[in-house]
Amino acid sequence: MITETQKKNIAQNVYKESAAPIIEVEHLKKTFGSNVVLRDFNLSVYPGENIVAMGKSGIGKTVLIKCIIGLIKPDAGSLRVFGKDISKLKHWELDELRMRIGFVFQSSALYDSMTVRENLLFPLRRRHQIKIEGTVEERIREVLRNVGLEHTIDLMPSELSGGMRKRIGIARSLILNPELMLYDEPTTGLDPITSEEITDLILDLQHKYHTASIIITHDLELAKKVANRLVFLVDGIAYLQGTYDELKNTQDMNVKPFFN
Amino acid sequence: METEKSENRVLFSKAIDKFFEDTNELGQFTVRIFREGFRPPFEFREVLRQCYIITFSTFPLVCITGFILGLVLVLQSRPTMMEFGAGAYLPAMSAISIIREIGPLVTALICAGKIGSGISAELGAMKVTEQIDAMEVSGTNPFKYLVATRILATTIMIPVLTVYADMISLLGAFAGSNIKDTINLTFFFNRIFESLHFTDVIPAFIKTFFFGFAISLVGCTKGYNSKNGTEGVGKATNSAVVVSMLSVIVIDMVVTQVSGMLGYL
Repeated sequence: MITETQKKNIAQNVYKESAAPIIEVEHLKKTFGSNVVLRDFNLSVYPGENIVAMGKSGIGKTVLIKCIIGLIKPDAGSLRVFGKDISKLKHWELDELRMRIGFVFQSSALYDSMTVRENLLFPLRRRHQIKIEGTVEERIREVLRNVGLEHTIDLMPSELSGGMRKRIGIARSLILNPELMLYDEPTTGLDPITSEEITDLILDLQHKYHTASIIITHDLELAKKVANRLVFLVDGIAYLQGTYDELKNTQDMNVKPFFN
Repeated sequence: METEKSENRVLFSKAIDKFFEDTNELGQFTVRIFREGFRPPFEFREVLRQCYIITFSTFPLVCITGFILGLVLVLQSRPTMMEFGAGAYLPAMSAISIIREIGPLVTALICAGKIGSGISAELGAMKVTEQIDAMEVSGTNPFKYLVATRILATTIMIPVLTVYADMISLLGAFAGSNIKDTINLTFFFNRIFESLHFTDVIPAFIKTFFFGFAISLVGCTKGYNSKNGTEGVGKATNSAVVVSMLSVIVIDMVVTQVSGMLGYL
């Protein structure tokens, strides 16, 4: 278990802005029909940095991370991930890039027809060229141990609680040792204890593997503990950026009510 | 009155739009299947798994329906044929009816209900619970893994199921013949094989591939493109069954016409 002091140290010390950014978003625009979701959005993410994206529901946070992983195609602007322009990648190049990114869905998105083991095996089997130390079974057990759910290995997703499903979703994203994690509301709908465990897990990943993350959340406790930098979205732009305390103490009326 | 007419026109216009949208969706899906689905790496394991699931889930239904159809066909036809003194042609008549039309059509309609709805509901549920997105971010082409494999498996397995259904149906016809008469199994099948020609079997067999392709294509298109949560999945599944059954009947008519033009009738 990580102590409060350790958590603070991790959050403050790991992120070093001196390195080249792994994600560069410039003037990104995305509309759905007449609804402009992202409008001139700009953001850079550096290696090992935890970015928390906050803002009202429907403001475009999920659209942003889905654009980053190539699930949604932006209308305009530039989006470079690990130095590669997402819009110019061929399908197989995008698949290669996705191997370096983990994505945790809000709904966990576990494959219903597969056991936990098969869910974790799926990305490994699809990416059999990846060399993983030890056997596949050991690797599956290792990531399950990391999320504290080794005993669920043979269960079906329908037999798991919401919190367990979420943690298995994280385990599945971790199995390929990603350099970047994208979390879509990882603690929504969970009890405080499970939320705390997921918070620890995010910090643990940053600490152990120097993994950068973009975390979409409305959970202020999570934001406070894991964020090196917060990005507050208003009207499709990165309206305000800064540390948790900076944003909490701002007098800007677009942001202040959120923290109160 | 005028308002009612105007509303009717709008509804009619929307129905036409929907028809063209659906046709366009199916067309795009077909193009994508040939462009992406049959390129390496191939998903042999998943194709085999789907073949097993399709056969396992449909086989009992096809057998029961086939047997009853064969039996009822003979029982219904016998009195009329006997009246015309054509009782000896009963095996030949039932064989030609079953192999040319009843076997393939009934199997395809059962599969449209069972397989088409299953595929549509499964893919629709995967879509609304983001499982398809999860597959894509893990570096798997979901179109290839989920759609192409199901289409290939159904296209292969419906002809196989049709052959089974034909055989069981003929046994049903034999059982039906034995209710009122006593007829030897060897004699019954000898009469059947004497009356059947390749021109009866080949077009009927070929059309089952089209049936399989159409059923799975419609099921996959509807499921993969379903929207608006669980309600959308329900609508997609319902639509998949209706459209695939209609497609089967239209294909049947077209193949019959083409067979006739080629001299196979």
